[in-house]
Amino acid sequence: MRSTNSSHDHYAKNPNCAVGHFLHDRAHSRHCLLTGRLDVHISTLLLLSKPYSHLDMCTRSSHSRPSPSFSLLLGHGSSPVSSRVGVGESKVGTMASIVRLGPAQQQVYIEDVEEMFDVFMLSLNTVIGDGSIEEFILQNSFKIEFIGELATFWLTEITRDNRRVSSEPGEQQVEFELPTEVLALILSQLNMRDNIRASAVCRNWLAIAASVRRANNPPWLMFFPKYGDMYEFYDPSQRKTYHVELPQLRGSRICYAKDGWLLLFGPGTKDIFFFCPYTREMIELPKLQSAHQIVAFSAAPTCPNCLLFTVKNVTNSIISVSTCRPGETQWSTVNFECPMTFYSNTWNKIVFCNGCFLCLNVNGALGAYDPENVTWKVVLRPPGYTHFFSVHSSWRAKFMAEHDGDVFVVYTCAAVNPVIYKLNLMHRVWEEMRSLGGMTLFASFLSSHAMTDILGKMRSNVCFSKVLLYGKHCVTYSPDAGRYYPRNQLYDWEEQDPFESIWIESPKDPSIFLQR
Amino acid sequence: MVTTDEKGPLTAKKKSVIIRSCDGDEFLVSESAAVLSTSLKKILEEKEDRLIHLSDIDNKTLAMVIAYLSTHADDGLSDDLKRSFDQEFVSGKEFDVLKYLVLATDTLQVTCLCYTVAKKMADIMKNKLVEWVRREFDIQNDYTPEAEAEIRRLDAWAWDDRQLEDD
Repeated sequence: MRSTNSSHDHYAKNPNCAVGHFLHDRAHSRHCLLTGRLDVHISTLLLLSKPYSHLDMCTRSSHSRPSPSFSLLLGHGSSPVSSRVGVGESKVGTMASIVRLGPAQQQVYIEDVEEMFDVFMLSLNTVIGDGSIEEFILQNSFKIEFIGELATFWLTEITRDNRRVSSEPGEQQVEFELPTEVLALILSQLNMRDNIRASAVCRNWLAIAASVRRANNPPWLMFFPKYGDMYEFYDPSQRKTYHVELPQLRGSRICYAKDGWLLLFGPGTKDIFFFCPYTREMIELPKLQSAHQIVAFSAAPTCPNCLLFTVKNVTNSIISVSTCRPGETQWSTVNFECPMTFYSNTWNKIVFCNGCFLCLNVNGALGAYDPENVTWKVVLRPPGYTHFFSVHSSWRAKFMAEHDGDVFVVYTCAAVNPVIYKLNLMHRVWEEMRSLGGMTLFASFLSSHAMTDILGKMRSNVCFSKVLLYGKHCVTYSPDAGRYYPRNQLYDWEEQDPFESIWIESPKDPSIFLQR
Repeated sequence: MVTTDEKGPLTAKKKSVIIRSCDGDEFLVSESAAVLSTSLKKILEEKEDRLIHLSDIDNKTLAMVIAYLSTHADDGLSDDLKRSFDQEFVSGKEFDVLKYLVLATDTLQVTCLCYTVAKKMADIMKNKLVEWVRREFDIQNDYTPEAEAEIRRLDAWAWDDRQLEDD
């Protein structure tokens, strides 16, 4: 700890002051469990009979909670690690982990300390074995850490000599240790890949990292019926199919899906609307004339920054971009003269990335619309552009997905294995990816998703919107293995009906959705 | 200045407290700011003394926390402004500084800041080598080489060819 030197000096100069503060603070920290660490000269422990009662009360209050747990950690200095010993029921709590390290260099007045640690005798004895607590304390400098439900406090007992040695430059090993809860809070913010690597740091981190490791739920595949109102939802993690009746969607077809919301368009009525199949919420939008092109949106319609976007050619060199926000009464359209021809058609792939809509056309060229500055430009040519007559010119179905500012495109055709590119906007190149590195791409014709932290066989694979083996497996492609599953054959995704199915974020609580 | 504070009988009486860091520096803090820390609030409820000594928070870290508390206690600032303050507050700070900050916010139970700092630390830890993490957190590797190799083998994909950083 950075402050330990100075604080120690402070106490060293005036140990009584340290005692005073210690008791002072301690007396008021019974409930709030204030103070991460106290550096106390060993003699101050003589005066600890008072805090004892607080500790006792603290213990009791923690017993009234559902899962009281205390951990008792003995050690000293910079590396309080070695063995962890679980101790059964004691007056203190249900768990104690004890570590002992290093020889002591200081005498202790045992009686007082014992009084102080009366509560912990049971735990201590387990570790100390036949030796008495006196001997133990005589032989070891020690640190005690109580982990309550809300916060941690611990007494650090490090002998003066010890600290003086350790604070010398060159030999510095000033201790820094985070309480378990804080470490758990930090590690819980990591994605699974970083979490797994964090577990290789040390044994303690492994336990904490594993306890906060989270997996993402894969999206569900929603199937649109040719006739009728019965919609199928396939959950790839459970390999289950659910049937739900949604008469609200009659006469409309799917445009796009993102953040658990569907965007649907009625070719007959020109109605365009958001629909959440899980809550059955519907959000109407102004009618869109001639919506033969795909329409995409940036975020859930409940978000303030939700923007709808569609693009089409007016002439060969003029591009027309229409946008709309939920709540507005009409679409606004801007025409751009485009020096670089960009053929837009129904099967554009659109993602929203870093504030821009990126639009991949059927040839593989990438255009970008910046809603803030109202600009349109073609930013990238198709990959493999120079090899015009290579196999790449026969690419058929393409899928594009965005994740955390990165854009991925899957090129497929019936002749060779799919190729996955990552967009490098900085250098304006497509970088071919030999592996997805733990990420999963959920590819469906109108919109695709890229997700990390998916468990099981879907990880590092591209999952397509087709289910085989009687609903037991969706078709996946593994770049690592260079093959499709479940059948080692090639697929022509262009042949699939684009409006037949789409990946949509799974419901937060499937049971509520399914009981309706 | 008229006190309109209704947070409690004690807090209504006094308007500011002195908080002393472990290196002896004292900070005068308005009580409305101090009570945003759950720990300080509880101390103030129990204690007549206006001087709070924090024996494990150094002056630099304490100054940062107090800056945060004071900003959030300012009723004149909108929530949006406070949110952007939070983001700026953690951005650009050294990892070493954040370590002590997260410890201090946990001690003082400033939940919101603790979370923000923890998230920032996690962001920095992304794509870092295990060795980097050990160094920054001052942790001794207590795995046997075999045990560590086993962990790496079990989830080999997490150690893929993507570049890991060491600084």
